[in-house]
Amino acid sequence: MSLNLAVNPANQHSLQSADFIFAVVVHIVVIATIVILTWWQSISKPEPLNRIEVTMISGAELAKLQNQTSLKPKKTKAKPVVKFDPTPAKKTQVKEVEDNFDPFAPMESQSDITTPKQASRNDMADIMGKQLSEKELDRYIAMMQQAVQLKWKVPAGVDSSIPDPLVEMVLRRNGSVFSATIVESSGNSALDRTLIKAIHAAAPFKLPQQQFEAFRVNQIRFRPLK
Amino acid sequence: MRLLLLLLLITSPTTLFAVEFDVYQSGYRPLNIALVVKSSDEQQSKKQQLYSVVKNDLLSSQSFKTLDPLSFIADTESTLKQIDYADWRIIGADLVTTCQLTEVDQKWQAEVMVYDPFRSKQLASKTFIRDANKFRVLSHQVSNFIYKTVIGVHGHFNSHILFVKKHGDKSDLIYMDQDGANRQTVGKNFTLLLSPDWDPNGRFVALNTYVGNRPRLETFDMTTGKRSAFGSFKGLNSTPEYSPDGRYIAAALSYTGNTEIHIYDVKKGTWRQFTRHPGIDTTPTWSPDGEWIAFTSNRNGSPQIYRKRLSGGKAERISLEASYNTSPVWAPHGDRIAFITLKNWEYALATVHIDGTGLRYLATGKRIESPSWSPNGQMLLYSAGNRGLRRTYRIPAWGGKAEPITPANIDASDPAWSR
Repeated sequence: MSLNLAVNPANQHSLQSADFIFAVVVHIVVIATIVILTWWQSISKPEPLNRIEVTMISGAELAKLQNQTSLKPKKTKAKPVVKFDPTPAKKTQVKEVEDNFDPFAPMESQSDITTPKQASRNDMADIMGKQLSEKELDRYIAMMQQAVQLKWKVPAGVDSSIPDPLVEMVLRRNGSVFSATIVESSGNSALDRTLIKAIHAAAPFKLPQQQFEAFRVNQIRFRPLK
Repeated sequence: MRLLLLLLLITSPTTLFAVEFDVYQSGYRPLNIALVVKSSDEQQSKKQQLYSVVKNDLLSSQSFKTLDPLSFIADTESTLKQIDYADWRIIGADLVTTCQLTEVDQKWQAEVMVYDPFRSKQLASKTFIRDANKFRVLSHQVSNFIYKTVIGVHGHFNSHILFVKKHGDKSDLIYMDQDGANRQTVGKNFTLLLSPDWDPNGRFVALNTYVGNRPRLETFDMTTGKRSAFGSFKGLNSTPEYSPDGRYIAAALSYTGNTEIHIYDVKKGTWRQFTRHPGIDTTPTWSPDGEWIAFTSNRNGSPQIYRKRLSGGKAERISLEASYNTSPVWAPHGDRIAFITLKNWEYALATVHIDGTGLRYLATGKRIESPSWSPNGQMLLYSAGNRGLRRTYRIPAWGGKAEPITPANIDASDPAWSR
């Protein structure tokens, strides 16, 4: 069957002409699309881009801003009181429709949602402030980790049965070591010594000045190869 | 190199004021040590001898790098009188060791001090005295003292090594110090000599030799050179190993018709059968507490390593990877077993925890055989093929570089480290 189809010249011819017609139609469609798009582009003038300024603010500033916004509902709260007089209320309604109506102005119904209290907003700001700095904290910890690891010289193998030692490191504000003490010993005083040495060799550490208190006391668990 | 693994802090309010993190060991790095040796002007050659023995010991452990005396800022005299730590910190010395060598009544005295310049602290000090003919022993004692102070593990520098030198049809038993010094033939012209093992006191050696074409087990007295057979049964008698207390010798015998582990009581001169299994059990090794024996068995089809309690019970499989695992040797600390395995179709020396975890490959190559631990469990010996001749190598048990300890022109196999 397939052999006959391939040999038949009539069949071959009709197949070729169909291909040709299809190709022409495709070309016409593509050219037409380009022309229409170009025309549409020329009539719709792009609006000038609005500039949006993004600035980073501190947690305290954020709290301040949120306190300001929380004042707005207080103002709108007054409106329902005015509503007691029916006639001015009607007037205002008419004015709103006729005069320059701002669709983005806060709707009156929003004034009903006044549940958030000032205190909780401050809490939120606090949490946000912490979340912002958490990544920073992690970065400083990673730097400390790397510094100590680089300076930790283990010259020989240790017994697999020893526990992983824990060291408490107290830092000064300038990142230098105030004290480094073994909290949980490995049982091998020579190995314990390498830990204290690694900490002293890695100092001074780079610390965030505002959040130094978070880094004053550090506990490092050393994991020797076993 | 292993990558640093991060484990970040817990951020609940209660732990906010105590940062917690983990630091992972990425590898092993030698400590820079400055060796300062002083003696009177007439004893310069002795001073040089002590310096080179100690330096060689410390370097061979691969735990130390000795600093070139030309880089020293402080001079020997003032350092011995009053060490100035800053002078040593500046040249990057992790440790400073001073040694005052003096001759007192035909004895040598070495007064050793170890300092940590980084923390401006003296770590330890000790004085050693030895007869004049034990000068090398004295030098190794100094090395041992430094090693123990810094690593926290006893040094192995006064230990000895036995190996088998094969020439033609005959084999000799060769003895030497761990650093290759004092090499001497202690037993001559054995018809084959296999798997010598040192008794804990260092006087006797249990070994497997042949009389005609029949294998037998013998003890060899290192002080008198006397050989006495203790196992010459029908069939195979092989791979003897002393128990940690020296009271028993475990070996593989096949007189029952199947190769099993048997235990010989040295005091009573009696044998008892330890394993009973249709599979072949061979190459026994004792745990340091003397309560277990690990051995090679093909009970599950391929040679694997098992351990079984002396008091009885089921054999537990230790080796979990590869289809070929043989020649187990229990580490002196008991935490690991060294053995011969296959890695990518090559023979390999490896160690593993006794529960089968923590597999660590140390060396690969042709004909890697006969692992043996140093008495402190820090180093391993093994023999490997070298263009027909075998050579004995030493490698740190925690990894590192393999270094040959026998000459290239002799066939040196079956090393045994003293206990």
